[in-house]
Amino acid sequence: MPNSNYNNFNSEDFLADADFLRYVKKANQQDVQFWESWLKDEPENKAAFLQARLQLQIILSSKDRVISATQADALLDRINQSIDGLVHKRRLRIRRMIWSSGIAASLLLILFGVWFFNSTVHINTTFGESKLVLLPDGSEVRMNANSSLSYPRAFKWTKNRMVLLTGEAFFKVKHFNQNPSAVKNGELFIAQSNKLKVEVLGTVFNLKSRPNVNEVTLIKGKVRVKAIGSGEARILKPGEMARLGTDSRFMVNVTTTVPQTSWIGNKILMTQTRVGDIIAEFENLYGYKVILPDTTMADKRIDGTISTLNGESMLFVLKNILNVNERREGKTIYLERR
Amino acid sequence: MQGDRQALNEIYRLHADALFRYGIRLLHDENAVQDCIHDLFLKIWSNHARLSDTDNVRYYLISSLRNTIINYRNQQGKIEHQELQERDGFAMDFTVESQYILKEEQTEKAQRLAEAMNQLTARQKEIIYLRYFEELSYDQIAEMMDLSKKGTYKLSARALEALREILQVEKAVLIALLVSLKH
Repeated sequence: MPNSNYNNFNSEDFLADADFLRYVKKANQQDVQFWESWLKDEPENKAAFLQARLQLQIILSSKDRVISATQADALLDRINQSIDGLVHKRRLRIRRMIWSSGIAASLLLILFGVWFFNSTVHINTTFGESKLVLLPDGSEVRMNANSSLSYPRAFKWTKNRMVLLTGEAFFKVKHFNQNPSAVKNGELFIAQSNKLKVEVLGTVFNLKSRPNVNEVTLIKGKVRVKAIGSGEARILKPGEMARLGTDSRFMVNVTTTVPQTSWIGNKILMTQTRVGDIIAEFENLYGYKVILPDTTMADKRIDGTISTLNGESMLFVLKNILNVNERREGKTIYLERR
Repeated sequence: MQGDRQALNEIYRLHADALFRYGIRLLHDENAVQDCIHDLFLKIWSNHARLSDTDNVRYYLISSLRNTIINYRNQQGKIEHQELQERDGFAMDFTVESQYILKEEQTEKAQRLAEAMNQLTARQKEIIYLRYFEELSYDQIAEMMDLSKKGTYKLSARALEALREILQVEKAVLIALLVSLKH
């Protein structure tokens, strides 16, 4: 309701008053009555009131251009259609995003698969180093110094479990086979060097593939040894050792197996062992080239035990046994009679 | 989502008339104004603007439409500056031949007052429109028309001179209309 301070109002005050504004704009009966009775009392500021009213009347005389109801409805339809388009586009975008992220994930999976099924794991030991490798199938491989082992990354998914070896390693192969007359995929284990191929089901054996010697010693179970050069194959029983001769043919000996596996305890056991073989083993393990003073020394045979744990101490022991002095030129060691 | 759409339709129905009335004074082109209102509502939808506070909806819509129209005109290359120019600015013509004005008041004085007011700048007319037609507060008008810049709302020298000659005493009232924006 209009307040009672109107008698103090100037034109500016009237123009700022909401009730006054409504009166001029709408001219509804209540308001008209109120202002007519207010004017009847001839207030001092009547002129200001009239001035403000005229001012506002003139302001309100400015004609509006209106939008027709049909146009307004048509515009609303258009707005809603555009929003439908936006919603549709957003859905498409989300769907496309899901699709493209799905494709990206599939591609990654494929790439991973390609990598996984085509790549190879390589493990190396340097001179004087030994490593125990646990294969994905649970088999154990003890690697001697200066050796390298490789196997497919998807080892458990391949048809045959296959590892490649250069150097020397002692295998404890996990046994999966139930029926030896029907060997299923993944049950056969193959250890291969450049000269030898050992096929096993589950067993313990030592495979040695050095420049001077290629041999397989079976400790437990059963293996089939194949010479890659001649194709000759032998089945070994525990305690047997197959050594490849220079003619690529096997010589199979019954052995105690201890000398062949003593390297695991960092020792060389010598029972009438050729000096040449021991020197060759030293070369294998520590990467030196050793030159003997004459060929007769290589054919000497000795007994005993030498620790292989440390290259210098192994050389020291050898020098004393052979009664020689050494002279080094880089990685070459010349042994000379005292 | 469905509720949002209904709310947006409701807001349109409530305010479409006012938006068009205001927009046509700025842009003088029915189709263009409708395009701008269309764009405005699409923008509101995309921005997920919540317009639940009814007090401010009218103000929000009108000031947003003003920006939309300014952008539209800039894109049309009609003006170089960001602000609206006088020559194609806010249209508002005053006359004494109006339903609001009683017969006995259509005097020469009223005639001259209307003429003087017609000489106001487009910007000043827009302020008057927003204040007396849309009944926005002085704060809201100052905010949306960026009136913090000094002097933008002052009467032009030409309009003042006309008022001085024609109205003498009554000019105070007209000045008051605009001066009240000064706070």
